[in-house]
This record gives sequence, C-alpha cells and structure tokens, in this order.
Amino acid sequence: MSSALPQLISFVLRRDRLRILAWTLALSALVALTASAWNSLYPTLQSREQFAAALNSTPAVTAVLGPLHDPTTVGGLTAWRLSSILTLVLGIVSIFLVVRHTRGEESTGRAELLLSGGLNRRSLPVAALVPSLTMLVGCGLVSWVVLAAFSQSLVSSFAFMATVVGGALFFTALALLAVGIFPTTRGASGASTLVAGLMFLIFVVSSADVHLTWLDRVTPFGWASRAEVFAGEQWWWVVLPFALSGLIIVVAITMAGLRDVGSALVRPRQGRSAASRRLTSPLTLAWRVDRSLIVVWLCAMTALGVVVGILTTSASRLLESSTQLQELVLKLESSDNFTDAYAAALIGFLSLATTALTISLLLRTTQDELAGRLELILSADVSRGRLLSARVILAGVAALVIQSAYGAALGLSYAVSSTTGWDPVVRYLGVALLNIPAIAVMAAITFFVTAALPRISWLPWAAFGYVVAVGELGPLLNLPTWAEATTPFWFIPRWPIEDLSVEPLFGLLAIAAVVCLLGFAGLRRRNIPA
Amino acid sequence: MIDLDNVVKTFGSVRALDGLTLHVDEGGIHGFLGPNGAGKTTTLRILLGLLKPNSGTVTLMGTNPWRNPAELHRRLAYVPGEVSLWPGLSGGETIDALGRMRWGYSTQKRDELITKFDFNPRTKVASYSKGNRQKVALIAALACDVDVYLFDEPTDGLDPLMAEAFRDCVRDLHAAGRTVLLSSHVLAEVDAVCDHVTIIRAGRAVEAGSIADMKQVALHTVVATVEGTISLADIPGVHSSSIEGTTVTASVETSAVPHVVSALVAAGTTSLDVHPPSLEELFLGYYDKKPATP
Repeated sequence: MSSALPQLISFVLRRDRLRILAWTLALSALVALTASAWNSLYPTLQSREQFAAALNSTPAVTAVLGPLHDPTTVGGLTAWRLSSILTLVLGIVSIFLVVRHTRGEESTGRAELLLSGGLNRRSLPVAALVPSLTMLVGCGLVSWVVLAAFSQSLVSSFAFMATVVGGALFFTALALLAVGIFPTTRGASGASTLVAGLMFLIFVVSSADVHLTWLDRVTPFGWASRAEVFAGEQWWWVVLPFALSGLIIVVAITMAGLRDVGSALVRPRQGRSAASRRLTSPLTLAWRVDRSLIVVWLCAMTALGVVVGILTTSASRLLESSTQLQELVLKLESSDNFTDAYAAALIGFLSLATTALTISLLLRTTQDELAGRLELILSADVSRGRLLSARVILAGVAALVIQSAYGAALGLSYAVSSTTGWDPVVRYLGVALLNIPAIAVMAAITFFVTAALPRISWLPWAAFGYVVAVGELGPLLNLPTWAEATTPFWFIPRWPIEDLSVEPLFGLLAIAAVVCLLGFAGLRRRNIPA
Repeated sequence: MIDLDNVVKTFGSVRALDGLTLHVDEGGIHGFLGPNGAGKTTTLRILLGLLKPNSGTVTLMGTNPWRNPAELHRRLAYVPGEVSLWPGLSGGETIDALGRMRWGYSTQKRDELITKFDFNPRTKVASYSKGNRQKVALIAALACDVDVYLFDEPTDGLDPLMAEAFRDCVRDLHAAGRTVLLSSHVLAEVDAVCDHVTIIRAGRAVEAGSIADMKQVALHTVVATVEGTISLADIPGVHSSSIEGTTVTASVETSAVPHVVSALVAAGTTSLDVHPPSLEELFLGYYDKKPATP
C-alpha cells in the first residue's frame, strides 16, 4: 500500500470523530443502564432463576432475544437482553459509515480527488473500514469495561462484546461487498440493511420454532446465541464472525482493486426518457423519489406483522399452560390479558419503526435544501407551503398505510394460527392505528425542524433515540411516571386491555397540529437556503 | 422588468449585498458580472423570493418577490449555478417534472432542446456529469415560454459547443422579446449575447450600462513601431504612453484615436495596431480595483 494511505485514514477519521464518539458513548450507556436495571429488578439469585425459568419456556420472548443461557448473573441477563439489538444497531450504523466512505465518495467524484493523490484503488475500501473499525472496537472496549464492572467477569464480558463486535463487523464486511455490486449509495446501503433485517427475521423465526432452530446458524445473531457467553463460552462461535468477515473483506478489497473507480457489477439501468403523466406536482415527485423505500418498508413491516402474529399465538398457548409465566407477565405488563398486552407491546415496537421511516421521509426536505434542489422547485410555480406539505402528505399516508398493513397482517396471521375467529384482525388493526397520533407528534417535530429550523436537523433523530430509550428501557429502569410521560407513545391508551379514551388521542393530534402550524409560520419568514 | 434599489442583505456579520442597484428593462438581455462571492447568487435568490432583503426595494415584473413569489414564478424560469438532482430519476423525468411545475412548458420545445444539447434523457441522474446536470436544468427552463429567465452561471461545465448552443437559445429569447438576467464569469458569453451589463463587486454595483457605451468610454490600446521620435502625451485624450526602443504603446480614448493615428502616420510609423477595448479589460480593471468609496 502506498505511503499516502495513513494520511487518507486520518482524514477519513477526522470527518467522523464526533459520530464515532457519540455512538460509543450511547451504546456503552445502554449496556450500563441495562446491567444496573437487572441488579435492581432481580437482586437475588432466586428471583433471577424464577424469571429465567418462566422466560425460557416462552418461545415468543426468546424468539426476539434468543434463549437465555445464564440467568444467574447480571452479565448473563444483560448479554441476553442486548445481544441482538446491539449487534443490529451497531451493524446498521457501521453499514452506513462504510458505504458513505466508499460508494458515497465514488458517486460524488470525491474519490477521484482522493485517489489522484498517490493512492491505489484498494486504499479506498481499506480507509473506509477505519471509522467503522474504530467505532466497533471503541464500543466494544468501553462496553467491555462497563459490563465487566457490573458482572465481575472479565472473560465472559469480553466474549459477549466480541460476539457483538463480530456480528456488526460481519454486516460491515457485507456492506463493503455490496459497494462493489451496486452502483448507488442507496442501493449498497439498502441491500446491506435489508440483509441485516432478513437475518434478524430468520433468527426470530428459528428461535420461535423448535424445528427450525438449526436455521439460526446462518445469522450472526445465532452465532452470538450459540457462543453461550456467561455460560461456559463456546469460543468457536465467537471467532467465526471475525474469520468470515476477514474473508469477505479480502474479497471486497480485491474486487475494488479490479474494478474501475465508480463502476459496479450491477450496471446502472437506463431510465425512461420522459416522465409518466402523473409526475406533475411536488407530491408526485416526492412519491417518485421515495416510492421504492416506502414499498420496501411496507413489505418488510407486513412480513414482520405476520411473524409477530404467529409469535403471539405460541405465546398465548404457552401462557395457558404456565401459571408461573402468568405471574411474571402480570408483573411486567400489569394486565390480565396477556395475549393482547403481548401483541400491543410488539405493535408499539413496530410503530417505532414506522416513526423512523416517517422521520427520514420528512428530513428529505432538508437534504433537498442543502443540495439546492429546494430552490430549483421553488423557482417554479410552487409555494413553500405546498412544497413542504407534499412531504407531510406522503409521509402521513405512508405511515397510515404501513400501520394498517402490518396491523391487519398481524391480526390475520394470529387469527389463522390460533383459530380463534376473526375478531383479532379488527382489534390489532385498531391497536396499530391507535399509535398514529404519537407518530404524528414525532412527525410534527420533524416537520417543524425542516420548515423553520433546518440547521438543527439532528434533533428529530435525537428525539427518536430518546423515545426509543425511554419506551423500551423505561419499565426496566423503573423510571418515574413523569419521566415516561415525556414521550408521546406513553399517552396512547392501552386498548383493548384498558378502556379506550379519546382525550389523549385528540390531545396528541392537537399538539401535532400546533407544532405543524408553528413550522409553517417559521417557513414563511425564513431564508432559503437557511 | 427587474428593479433592485439600494438592496442590503446580510448573513450574520457578512454583508452579501451592500446597497446593490440593478435595473433590467423589458426585453433586455442583461449580463451580471462579478468575482466569486460578489453576491450574484444572493441577488438571484432575492429575485426568486427565497431570501428577504434587510433593506432596499426589490421589484420584479411590478411585484415584490418576497410577498408574492408564487404569482411571479408563473412568469419566470430559473437555472441555478450548482445543479443537484434527485437520485433515481432519469434526466428526461427530471426535465418533465420541473417543466410541468412551471408555466408554459412545451414537450415539443423540450424535444428540440434535447436534440440541440445532444442530451441523453434516459440516463439516471446519478451517472450525469456536471455539464449534463446543467443541461437538465437548462432544458427544463428553456422549454418553458415565460417572460423572465434568470440564469446563474448556466454554461459552467458545458463544453464550448454546448455553450454556443446556449447562446443561440438566448438570442432566440431576445428575438422573442423575453427578459434575461445572465449571471456569468464568461466574459465572451456576456459580450456575445448581452446588450447591458452590471458589474458587481463586494455586494455593490461598480459599473452598469450598455456594453457599447462602456466600450465607448474605455480606452483603446495603440501599439506602433516608429523610427523617429514622437511624443503622444500632448494629444488630448491620451491617458498614458510609453516608448521602448522603437515601440510606442499608448492608452487612448475613443475620440482621440484618429488624432493619435494621424500623429503616428506623420511620424513615419512602419506598423500600427489599434485594439478596441475588450470587456475583459473592463472587467479585470474592476476586479483589481477596490470599489469606489461613496
């Protein structure tokens, strides 16, 4: 490799230092919070064993998180709770990082600028790996120290973080490979994220069904589970992702050396020479730009709905046969209708995914503004309000359709697999739609930022991270009610377990409307580009 | 058609426009010249109603663009300097989408322009070079029959042949009586198509008028080879003259050119060269000089 490579690496690292630091801190904090929560929630060995016994007999719970191997220690519980989610989050963040530094640079022409400075073609993927590796190793080391402090086990903590880092590294390597296959940034990161999501789905399904357990061997989540950290580590499964990643990375770098800069295995397709008749307005343009993203999300979420419906059936069947589990569930969900509570909790989780899509659809406005596309449209016969409303309408309809689709799919698959009649279809569709006002508040905040204050475009994602952290960890952390009530999802009525009260729903919608109006007011007054 | 009077626009502590005055008559093809960062793009964005000036008056087709942007936009087309397009769409789709959101869009005109600019509308915009992205914005604007066209360095990235095709289009617009404001770095382009020009520097207009008038007051350069001795400095209208060996060089006002030439001929010149003032010289003169203090 050439002597300019170290310079390129330090240049690439400098651009990402804040991002790397933020993720390292956030994920290490997650590990610390979870570990301390287990300590306070189940302080005695006996209480942990009880919890584990109940849990391991519930495929529906072990499905999402994998089987619990060591219920006796805080480390084992933390590893079980966080393994999949940490691997998935770190993996996806790393995918976007690595694609940004490879395909992103190639498609903007910046790669030529870098490569003309005495570097060979293989340097680009090598340098692009550095921010990801730094983030992964940083997260791994800090979390290792944190978890070791809580769990009192250096070796097992190390093994756990190694499974997480290895899994995320595996997705990073796949992304590097995808960069050589797909000609666009969206294509490369989209395909890699889709593979990560599919592998997670395979892991969920294989953990839920005893006959399919063998299937989890094809996913990093399964390797992490089979490594049985904190329960006599199976080091072979810990090492496996690193070996595979190394192999894929070597192939990807070799490919980068062989192909033309800017080229890919998949040739960019020719498009249509004229636009379809319908492409006449900001709304149809927004749909044209984002339709593939929306359709992919719609399909993925509907598929998840079907899986969750089946999981709900197996969960409710098991509940009938386990009084111990009933007690546990009562403690966690404070409800007497386990099935509905279980489905509602998962629908709440899926609603967060819809929220994420809504936020990214709305933030397109800010991307357009930074790139100068906003002024191009605004120079046409399109007012500011109409242009931004188009994004709101598209995001709103997408959220509505996706919530309805997976809600109905969940109800339908539950109804079919449990053979308890067709009631659940309407019930779970209703539960999914009840989350809309909370999604609307998050969307309104995002709209306000894009309309009035595009400089703080990080705010919607920060707010989203906060909502996810409080919503998912709130019960575990025993947060006070007022703290949990800082997220809009807390106000959604727990129908059908509790009565349906419409006041909070209208309240949330009113807040969303007011925030939107403030956004429009700011939009009229400000400079474009801001 | 376009009137800016004493317009000030600040971004924080930066004064992007510092009392700019700019007038374009209906049917005029107006060149807008100035170095990078002089405030050309800011001016165009103010005319589009995207930016609100801190003070001064702005009138476009008799209306205030900040108050009634949408109404004005039915009668104008704009080509930005940095064209960025939506990934995933083809060039043809983008042209149609932009054109249909404007008024007076003609697909027939679009097809003519696609041929004229030798443009492949089927390629996805991610694979387009800067010049091709520029063509998308140009075709989308020129395919619309509107009253006012605003161009921000439109030929940046186009090859000379395509730049000439663009000049052709501007001449057609002129013949059709349309108003054009052309911000540019390319002096030859402004010289070739514009009748009036405003030169802007550090947010102020340092010179404005018809190109012909400017050339009138600008100085000709006279270079001659003279065997004998001669002194041109006494002739009224001669600004400077120098002699190196047998070569005489002088900067001369238009009105004094005949007197200087006859003096040189009388002195027995063996070769004579008179350069008319070029826009380039005017322009470079203003770039070097500090703006006149009011």
